[in-house]
Amino acid sequence: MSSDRDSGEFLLNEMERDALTEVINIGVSRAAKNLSRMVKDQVHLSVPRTEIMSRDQAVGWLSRRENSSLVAVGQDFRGSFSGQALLIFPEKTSLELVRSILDDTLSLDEIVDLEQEALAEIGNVVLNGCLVVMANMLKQALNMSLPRVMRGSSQVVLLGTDRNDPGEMVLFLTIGFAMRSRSINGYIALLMDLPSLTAIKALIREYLKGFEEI
Amino acid sequence: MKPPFDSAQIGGAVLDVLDTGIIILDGDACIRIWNAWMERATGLTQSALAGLSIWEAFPALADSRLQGAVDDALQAGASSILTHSLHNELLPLHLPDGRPLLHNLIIRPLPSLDSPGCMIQVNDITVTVTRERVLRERRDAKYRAVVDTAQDAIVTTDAAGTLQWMNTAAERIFDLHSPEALGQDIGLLLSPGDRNHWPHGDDVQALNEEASHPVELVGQRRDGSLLNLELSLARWRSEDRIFVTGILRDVTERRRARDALEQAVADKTVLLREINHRVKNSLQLVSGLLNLQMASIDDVSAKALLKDASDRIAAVARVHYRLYQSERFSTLDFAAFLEELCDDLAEASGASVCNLVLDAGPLEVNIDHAAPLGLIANELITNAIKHRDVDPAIIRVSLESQQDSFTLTVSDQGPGLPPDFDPAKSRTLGMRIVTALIRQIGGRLDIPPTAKGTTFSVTVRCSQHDLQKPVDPPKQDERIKRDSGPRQNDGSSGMASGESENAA
Repeated sequence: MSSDRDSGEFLLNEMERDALTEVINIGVSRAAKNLSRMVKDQVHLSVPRTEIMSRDQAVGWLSRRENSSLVAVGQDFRGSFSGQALLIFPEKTSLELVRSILDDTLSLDEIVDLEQEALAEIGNVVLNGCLVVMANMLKQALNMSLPRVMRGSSQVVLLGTDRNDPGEMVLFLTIGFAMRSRSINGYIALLMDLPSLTAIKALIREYLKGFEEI
Repeated sequence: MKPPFDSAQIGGAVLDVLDTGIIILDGDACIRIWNAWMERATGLTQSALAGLSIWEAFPALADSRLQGAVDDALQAGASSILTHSLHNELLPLHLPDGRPLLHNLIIRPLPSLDSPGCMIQVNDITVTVTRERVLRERRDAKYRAVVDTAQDAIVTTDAAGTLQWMNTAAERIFDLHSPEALGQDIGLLLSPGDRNHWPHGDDVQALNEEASHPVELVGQRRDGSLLNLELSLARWRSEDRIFVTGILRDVTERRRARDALEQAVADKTVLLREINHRVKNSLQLVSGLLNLQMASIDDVSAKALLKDASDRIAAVARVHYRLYQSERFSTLDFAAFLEELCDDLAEASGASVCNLVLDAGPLEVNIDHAAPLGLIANELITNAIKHRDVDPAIIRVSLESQQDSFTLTVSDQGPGLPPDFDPAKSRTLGMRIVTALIRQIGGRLDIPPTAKGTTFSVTVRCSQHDLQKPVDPPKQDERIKRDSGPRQNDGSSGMASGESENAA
């Protein structure tokens, strides 16, 4: 996928890429901290991956890593840059995640009943954590939607049921996370269209300028 | 056309009739709107809260998850949900009767205001939660009564085989506590070789909704000790998820009892075989003694009598020999018995003397009939050999099964019986033995007219223990016993068979 990386490098120089990665890293760290507090367990994060690829290629990337059915919590954000933030994990670990947060005394039926609601809130806390840091550091007001829970293949999760063009090039950013003691793993993903990437480039320049002025 | 309503006035009126709580905070988190619903639920009026930030009005909420959500909305435009399921009590709200009012919160930024602000929407879910709990309790009451008193382990996993629930019997049988087992793979409870008996992934789809047939497998306790289990599986659904519930019955004791029973049966088999073996040996000894005595006397007719007695005892010994050769003790493989008998008689009388042709279908006869039938066959065949008119005599022996009876037939090519022959009045020992034994086992003796020689045919009704062997009926064993002598035979005249034997 060297051509995608080329177009990414074409749009963002090395310094700008590093700065964007740092901003996102701080955001995800806060998200992980929120998650860690909820599950009362340490959350390990992988190194963020940023690539420009088509939505279809993003689906392919995810399905190569997770071939079982997935659960995702998604939130849209709109502002000077727009896109979609997702918390994705294999469906088989989602009950375990919910159980780790809810009261231990609940029965299996109760946990299943509460799963949807609890997942929405967990996703909400994690994704807001990430997006709020980005918005604050880039000094941008973003309007973030309420979370929605999706279930299905990587295609359903990443393309949704609306008419997202599968061929559209997007910035696809992923960070893997894992809770070792509970065998829960998953991804935080950001999808942004190319006009947003241009806007981000301008904002990153502003952000870097702020350091130069000090 | 009427002039439009003043939207600010309308807004205020609507806020107060909404059946949901609305709080609007400004950029400093000061309470700007506290609708009538909120006043009723908290007992605090909007005017009493005017000018206070929400954290001043409710100090307990500072540093809570609500504060984080409000900050995110005000500073970054993020929307949040706070649910009752993850937070027991968010705001201090009460129903008119004083019970706590259960609620979810939605926090949204209000970017369209002149300065930043956010709205907290409070949804009353008391009725829903209470109804769900009542329904669940009603459902669980019956369910608990069954699963918690069950002596068998009952275990539920999701489609991936991850343990989701277990009853108290499962905790006891596997020596585990639910919290440490839940979330782990089902392999925790099963021996490594038997883990594939629990369905994973695609196997779950294949599993019927109805319970499957139980299978026996080996499970393991926490300390690794093994136990015999019987597993019955069923698949069920809840909220689009598939679960598998298995009932694991501890059959260690049952297995032990079954093994002991099998051992007892095996011991009995050995014992019965030993008894038959000894009976045969004793009979052979008696027969041998008669042979010895035979050698010590010179009287030819006495020798012949001793020889007959010895042969009859040997025939009964053969029945016991066959009994301990087989796995069954209540029936005798009569075709195999006849085969041996024919072999021995042909050999004893010499190659040139007789040609025995056996055609025996498979038949198991009841042990009560075995010794008499063995003796009858011995008498009829010996008689036919004795009364042959040419060497070698051709003697046909056949055994046929019918629906509920079987027939033993012995035919010779000898001189035939005298016209007035009546087996019941025959004075020879051989015929008396035959008729007495046939009467004893409830059989019938027929002497059908034949062109040449004599045919004796004994028909016996099958008792419920006489079993035809489970062999393809058309493919009957046909065994031909013959000595090395020539096959051609032209029987002409001679003594009537069965009539020449001396009375004892």
